[in-house]
Amino acid sequence: MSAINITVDGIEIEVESGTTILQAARQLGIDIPTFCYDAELPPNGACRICVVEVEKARTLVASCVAPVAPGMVIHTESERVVSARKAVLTLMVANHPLDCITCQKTGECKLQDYCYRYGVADSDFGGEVKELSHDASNAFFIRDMNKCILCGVCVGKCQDVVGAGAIDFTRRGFVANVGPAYEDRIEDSTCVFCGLCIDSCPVGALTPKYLLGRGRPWEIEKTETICPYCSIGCNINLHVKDNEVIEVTPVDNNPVNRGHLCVKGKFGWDYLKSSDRLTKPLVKSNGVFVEVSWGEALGYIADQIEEIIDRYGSEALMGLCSPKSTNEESYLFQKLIRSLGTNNIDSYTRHCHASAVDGMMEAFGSAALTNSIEELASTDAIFVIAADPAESHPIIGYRIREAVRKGADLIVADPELIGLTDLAGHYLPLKAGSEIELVNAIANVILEERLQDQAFIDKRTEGFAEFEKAVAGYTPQSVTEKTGLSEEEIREAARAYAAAEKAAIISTVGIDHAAGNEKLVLALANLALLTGNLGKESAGLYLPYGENNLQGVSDMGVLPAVLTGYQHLKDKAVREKFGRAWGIEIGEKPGVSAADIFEGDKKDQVKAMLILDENPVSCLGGDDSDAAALLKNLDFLVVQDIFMTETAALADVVLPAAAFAEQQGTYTNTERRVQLSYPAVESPGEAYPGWAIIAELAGWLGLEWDYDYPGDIFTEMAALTPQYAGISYDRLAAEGSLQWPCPSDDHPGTPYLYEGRFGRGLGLFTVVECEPVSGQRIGLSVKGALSDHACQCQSVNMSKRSVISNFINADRR
Amino acid sequence: MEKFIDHCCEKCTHSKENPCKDFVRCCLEGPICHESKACADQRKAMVDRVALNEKFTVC
Amino acid sequence: MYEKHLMICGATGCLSSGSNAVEKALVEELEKHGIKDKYRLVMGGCPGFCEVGPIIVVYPDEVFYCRLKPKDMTELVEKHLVGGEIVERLLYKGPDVDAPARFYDTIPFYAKQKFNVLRNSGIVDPESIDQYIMRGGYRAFTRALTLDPAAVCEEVKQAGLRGRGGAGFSTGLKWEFTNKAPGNKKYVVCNADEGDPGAFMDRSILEGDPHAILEGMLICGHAVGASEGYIYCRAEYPLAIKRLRIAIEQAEEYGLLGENILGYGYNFKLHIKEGAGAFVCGEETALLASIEGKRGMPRPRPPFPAQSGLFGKPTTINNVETLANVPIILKEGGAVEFMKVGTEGSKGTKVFALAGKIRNTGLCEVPMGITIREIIYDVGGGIKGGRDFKAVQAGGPSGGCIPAEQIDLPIDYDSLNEAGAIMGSGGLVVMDERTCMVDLARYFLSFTQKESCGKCTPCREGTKRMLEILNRISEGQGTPRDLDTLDSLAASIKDSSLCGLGQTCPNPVLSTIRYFKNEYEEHINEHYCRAGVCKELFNYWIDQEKCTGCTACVRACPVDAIEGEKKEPHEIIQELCTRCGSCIEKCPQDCILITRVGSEADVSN
Repeated sequence: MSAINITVDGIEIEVESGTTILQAARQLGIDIPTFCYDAELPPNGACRICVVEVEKARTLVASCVAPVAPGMVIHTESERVVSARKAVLTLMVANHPLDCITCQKTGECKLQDYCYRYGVADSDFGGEVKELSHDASNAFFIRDMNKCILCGVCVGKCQDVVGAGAIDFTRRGFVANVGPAYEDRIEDSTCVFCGLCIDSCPVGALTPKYLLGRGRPWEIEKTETICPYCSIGCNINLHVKDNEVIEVTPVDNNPVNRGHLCVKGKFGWDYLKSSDRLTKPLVKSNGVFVEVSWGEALGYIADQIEEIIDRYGSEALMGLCSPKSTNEESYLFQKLIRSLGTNNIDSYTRHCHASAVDGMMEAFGSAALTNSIEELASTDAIFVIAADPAESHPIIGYRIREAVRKGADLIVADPELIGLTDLAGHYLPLKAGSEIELVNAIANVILEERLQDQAFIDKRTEGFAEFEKAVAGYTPQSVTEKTGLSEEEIREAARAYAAAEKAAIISTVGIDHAAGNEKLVLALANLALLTGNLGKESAGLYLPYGENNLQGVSDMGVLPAVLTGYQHLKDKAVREKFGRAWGIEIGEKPGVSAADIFEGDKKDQVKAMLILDENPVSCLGGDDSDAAALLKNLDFLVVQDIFMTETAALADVVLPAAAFAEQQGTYTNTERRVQLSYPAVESPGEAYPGWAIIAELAGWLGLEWDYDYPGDIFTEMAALTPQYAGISYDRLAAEGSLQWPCPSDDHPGTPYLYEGRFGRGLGLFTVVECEPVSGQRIGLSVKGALSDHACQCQSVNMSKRSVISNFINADRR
Repeated sequence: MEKFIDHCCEKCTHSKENPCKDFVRCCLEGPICHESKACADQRKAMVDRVALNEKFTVC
Repeated sequence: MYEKHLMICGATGCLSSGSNAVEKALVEELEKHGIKDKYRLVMGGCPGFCEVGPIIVVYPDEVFYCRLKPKDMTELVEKHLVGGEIVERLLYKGPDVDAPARFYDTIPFYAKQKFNVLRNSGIVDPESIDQYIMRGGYRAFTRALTLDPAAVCEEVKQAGLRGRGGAGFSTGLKWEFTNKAPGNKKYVVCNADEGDPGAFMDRSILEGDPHAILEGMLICGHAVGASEGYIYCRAEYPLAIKRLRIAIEQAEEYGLLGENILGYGYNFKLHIKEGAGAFVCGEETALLASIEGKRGMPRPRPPFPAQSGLFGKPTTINNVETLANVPIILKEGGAVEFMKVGTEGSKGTKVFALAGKIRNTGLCEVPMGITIREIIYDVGGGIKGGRDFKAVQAGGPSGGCIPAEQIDLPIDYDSLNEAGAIMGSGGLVVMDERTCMVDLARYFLSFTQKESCGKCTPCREGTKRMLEILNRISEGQGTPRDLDTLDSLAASIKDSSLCGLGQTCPNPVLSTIRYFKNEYEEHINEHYCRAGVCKELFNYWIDQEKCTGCTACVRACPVDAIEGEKKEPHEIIQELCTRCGSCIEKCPQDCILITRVGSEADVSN
């Protein structure tokens, strides 16, 4: 990139070739007004407010699209420019309702701001003014197209970034408008209510319904926090007035969601104010819940636990945590249970991700997304199988779309026509259950056509020889019947994946921990190893989780056989380290898992359960299920939650907890990114943050813990956990977020894993024989409950009490 | 010959699969690749059929 | 083998005068005599002289029959075809000839014309590739294939061919940009989305000589290195599309399209993409968007299509008429011949569509540099009804008017630009004193406002506001400030619009204000439209001294607003008069005058 010298408003500057005049001006701090410019959309040049004068050019030049040329002399506020801008503003104002006094956008409206700047109060054309009816039919926002200035940014976001394609320009000339096809209502269109249009509209044409009349921008307090719905962990701004959240907007500059959201994050927070919120501790007396004080409740719990332990021993106690809990809360929870003498601690939805976790542990030696979400946008090929990322993790969907726009090849293997098939260069409509056959056949083609990365295989893996022999039998011809695909289709897909410089695989396999699902993960790991797509940027294996802190909760040792950071109980040094730090003795024997209890043969062992923010009755079949029966049969059941769920209804004691927006804590998203979340509103009634409840209960149980605020908990945990050792609240506040492994204070965090070595040293090829893969996928989808509630039951609980309920919990697409 | 694309005899080879560089010129001045009065007559008759009068020529 | 060829004009002008019915009658008549198989009937290209349509030209006899009606076919068949005798009654007659004229060489309309682009139109059967070859078709292409691509660009550049779509950019230079652009995949696009109201130059070429376009595109493709091309033809030209499809099929059959064309290793594939009714798609970046399947809205430039055009690849876009000129230049010795015609800066010919208050309406192809006077009086036959020439609008909705004082202006790119007009696609609307210049500006602006794509603020909103002002002025609601507002709005729209449509649409307004400001002022200050067009702003008044009392107007008036006995001067009842103009048309004394409202004595001029 060569450098170019130009002059802007008399100031000389050197910029890279390809820079636009607008970008150059911004580098100098010169503010050129824009409506239709957006950094992530291709140059538009529509509104013409950004025009500048370039010496020797015939007409004024739109600075947002014009690249600089050597020796260019630019005037950004000359008389001619100001006159043109005033004309543009006057023309806009002439066709715009001037109800600024009550318009929700006042204070944030670019049209108002620029009219103020250039002194345009009104227009005196006196001609026709638009009179379109508002579209307020849907539950989320109002479209008042009379205020639309047709900048087209919303169209660009909807068509290019999100891909929903719900709106476009319609008609021509003065009656041109932006809206759905055939001028349908927005709720009858393909809109997914992600809110990107609302967030990018420079004027007041699009207004969230909840926000209308609730407050002015200067009356609102904004707090940055993390969305609780899924494992992407989008950074959101909670807009609060009078202790109530009235709007959510995405945070712009962050590596996770950079200004994007989906309907869940954008609109799904109003459950916070639901009248169903638990506000006081409850104790069941004669089958009826009675409100009690915290002291009474916790005292009662402590007594009951001590009695159970006396009578049956510690192994009769079990703790079940939710993958929605904060790191601090879950760390304390497993510390509590272990301090009571047992390793019976688990989170139920470890169950659905077991295939992913176990598979990756076996192949690589650690279980987490190998690369970062942001890197997906710069990859050369993406292979999506047994997943619908655009539905389950919309941010991943947006990145895939961006990658394809930049030229990446997209291969989609799915029995259904998921949304992404529109973009796919290769669509493989395989028969459900035949995924392993397909993946092995792809490996076969890669080997046959010598497309593998042999240098990587030789240096970084083991087990190749047996794998090669086993896969030799999976020729494309041999699987055509099982998969329903043609030989050519399989070959082309294989070539597309293998020939790319960097290629990524995405799958969300595994509701049931059927053997088939874990094998698919191993087969996909084989593919990544075969082509050297690990240990480098924009490649890797992505198996994104469902719930928002599944990664964190697992990292915190909420697992029967390991402590924090997956340090194994078997290791005496590990037990001693924790024992010293906690002042207790830690048993070597692993505890029972949730699966053992609910589906295995250990159900009679447990007599008392502490359940944190989890709802196994709903996940496992409802009020008449075996799980419900088991819980009913317990001697003692404590449930902490924010709502009276089906499981809480069965409890002896129910404790009211604070929701995500009401407490401070950290969450670790699926790309191992630790993010700090701040409270924005106060909890209702006497609800408390989970970490405080556990710490208080620990006191009642005779444990001497001393935590002033969640940061103290994090500090203690980090000192014990090598992956988190370099992370602290101070660093998170200063740097925004950090991805583990982060072993020391000056380590910058790790965007992608395995650059030097795998968790287990060398990557392992496994021979994978075919088993049917269960077709269900993970995640609470944007439209339609993708995972049939089984692993996002808490998210469903939240969404059911929110305005997004009808949209999300509708029938599957 | 009904149309210019037709062959005047078996020496003529032009087709879209097997093109001949002189095809266009040959339409009006042919045969070019070989000498033959029969072919020349054929081609002249073809030209006369297409032309309307002596003014309907190359313009 | 046919005895004769009958070329029936099936182009726009003659079609609307009823050439379909004439053709049907001809067929019936021939069948009645059982001689249909002896004659080749071609519903074909435009001979240009729309004023005297429907037209049938008989070959090889070289007879030009015009102003035909279905009932004339009996005589034509019996007397001429069967009897071998020319039907004088049906030949061209007019005030500019002493005796009925038999063929083009004796018809004054054609005297100053030179047929380059229209060389085959009306002469060949457009659906016959053989006839095109007979006329020398594809020889230029064959020659071009023997030349280096850069050399072909150079030849076109030296010949001085300038884009005929309106901008007048050097065609050879444009080809050179694409030739030099990096990349293996390039495209050639023909802009056949002729959208100016009343323009049908490109239509006549497409319908009358489609192979010329194919040949032009093949030569262009070779010159720039493209292997694929698109003809973007507006869907309102179904006959043109049909003829193009046939031409493409024929060219493919003959090995002139496809792979390894003529054995030179050159591949070229041609597609047709139909437009969907948007004037803005004549703008090249909007056209490309439309071919790509998107909404036809212009895109910012840079990047220019030569670097990044269709599907992001280097692309050359040329107008139909430009491409039709290319084979003429590339044939052996063609460039030299081409340069002999025209002026220094504007070589070659231009096809114009003559419309408006002119005697000879139709298409004409004349050398560049011909003066407006020659076009109007020699080619056009002068102003209809013997009135005075007032102005001519050149360039349609993007152009400007040239007033009578500049009647000796030569028509070429540079002279027109200096005068505030543009060549445009070649529409010339001739105006006499009965044309209101305010109304003219209003007419063109209402067109561009409807056709504005809506993307950019100045064009979308600005044209609407300008139009509202013009509407008010023509209804007598104008204020003196309006002219300043029009000026400043027009300047802003020109200076900041995104594309050519926006940048040029204020031109009709600006040029009419420049040359006819007094008319605007009369509309505004005196509520008077001297041309008698803006209905609120004039009255008709019968000159009592000249009126002979023939009652022609009384009978013509549809609302009985004229009173008068035979041989008595008639009078118009102003309260009933709707100013429809039927009386003026009928008056043999030309004594109905246009006056200011409410003032009978204050006669115009």
